[in-house]
Amino acid sequence: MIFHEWSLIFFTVLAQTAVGGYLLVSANALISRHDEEKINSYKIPMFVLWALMGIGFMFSTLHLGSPLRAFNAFNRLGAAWLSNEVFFGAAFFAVGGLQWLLSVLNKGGLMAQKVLTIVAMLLGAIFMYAMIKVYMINTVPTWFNVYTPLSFLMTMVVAGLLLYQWIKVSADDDNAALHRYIVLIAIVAVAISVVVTLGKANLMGEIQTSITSASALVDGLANYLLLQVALLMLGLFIWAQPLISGKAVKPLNLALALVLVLTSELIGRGLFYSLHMTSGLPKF
Amino acid sequence: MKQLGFYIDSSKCTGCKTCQLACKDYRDLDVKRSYRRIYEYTGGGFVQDGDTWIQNDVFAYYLSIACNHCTHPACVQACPSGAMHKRDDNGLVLVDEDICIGCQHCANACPYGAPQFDKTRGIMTKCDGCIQRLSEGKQPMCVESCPLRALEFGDMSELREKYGLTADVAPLPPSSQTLPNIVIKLNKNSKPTGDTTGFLVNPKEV
Repeated sequence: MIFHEWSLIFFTVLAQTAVGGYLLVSANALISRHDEEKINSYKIPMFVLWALMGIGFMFSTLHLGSPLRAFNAFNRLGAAWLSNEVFFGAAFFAVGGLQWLLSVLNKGGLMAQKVLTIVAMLLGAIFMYAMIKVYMINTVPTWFNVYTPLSFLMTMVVAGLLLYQWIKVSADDDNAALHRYIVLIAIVAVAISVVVTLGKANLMGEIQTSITSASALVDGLANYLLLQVALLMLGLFIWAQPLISGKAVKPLNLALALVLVLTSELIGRGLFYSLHMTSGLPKF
Repeated sequence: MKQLGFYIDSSKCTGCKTCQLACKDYRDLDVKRSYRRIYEYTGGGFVQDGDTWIQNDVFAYYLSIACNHCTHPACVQACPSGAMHKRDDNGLVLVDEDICIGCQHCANACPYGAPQFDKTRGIMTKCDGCIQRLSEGKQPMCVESCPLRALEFGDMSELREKYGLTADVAPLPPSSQTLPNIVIKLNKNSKPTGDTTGFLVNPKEV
């Protein structure tokens, strides 16, 4: 089984999806100079984004042995990346959530919403950087390599892009040109994602200590990798399907594609945690 | 600054695991946790010479490893709550059990398997160098229990003066990563760090 760290698997994948989606929706809103009414029209699909983020945080606390002491996680802010991750994640959630609330209530004025959006984008970006640094531990050779930032980034790009498109369609703010661009980017992003997955699998074959071989850590590693890539390709196919057949893009279509892509990402993240090993003796 | 640590005589150690059990009993540990563990590293094989098989390069040796109270502890670096800390007065790496949130990230980082999660209490636990016994002027339980007298505990500057600086041997990680406070007297069969000719014989015991 590769899902023993299920709480962290869900937390990291959902957070990367939500931040990726938020960065795109917000950049779009800023560049296209959305007014308050326009931002307000996004409120329902944006609620789904924040719900995903909220569920992610719930999973992250479930991971703790002593969840009632969760606030101690801030103790080493600035000194430990895990503290930074929790802090900037919570700050992203709070500031972005506040902006959403203002947009729902039509309060605060456009300027305040813009400022909050930009702050939340910055916090989200730092949150993602901290999440990568949490796993860049030099005593863990299977994590301490370029594939940790690359795979985390590709989850953000692929799942974030799909969430972004779903939000645009659900908010009735889409057009054919937008869909064409997104699907083109998606094809390139999925191709890079597959290359990253295979490159990582290749590197795992080379990592070995006196006691542990990375490639022997997961029973049926090749099958999981195959399933991960197959689900991603199937997701991409359903994602691009309306464009291929010349039909209208429906939220349900994209939601189904998102479920497939997220399942693929969850398997990939399951493998990531299952491939944990140290440079010396095995973890207890 | 004083730094306490262990001397491990791998040339004497027979892998009897008395130290492991004495610790387990004294600290009242459950089945899964063992603050001190004995790693049996084995390899080599036989070669055929006509009708006979000749022992070629078969080797085996034991390493008794607990927490090495590293000078650069990876566990302390990873800990978000500050529960995992290194004491200024004696260099021991300890968990403040009233602060730990049980995220187990220290266990991800430690390349010696020292931090061990207590599932029932939801917090991390580990070897504390028997700090209570030290305060009573006694030695750690593992050291006192060893029938081979293969373990010692004390000031690292004294142990290093007496026994040298060796802290690198397979299957341990490179000592440069965390600067463990151990001195090892090598077994004659010892293989260097990074060696891949052997394997861990007793994965279920560690």
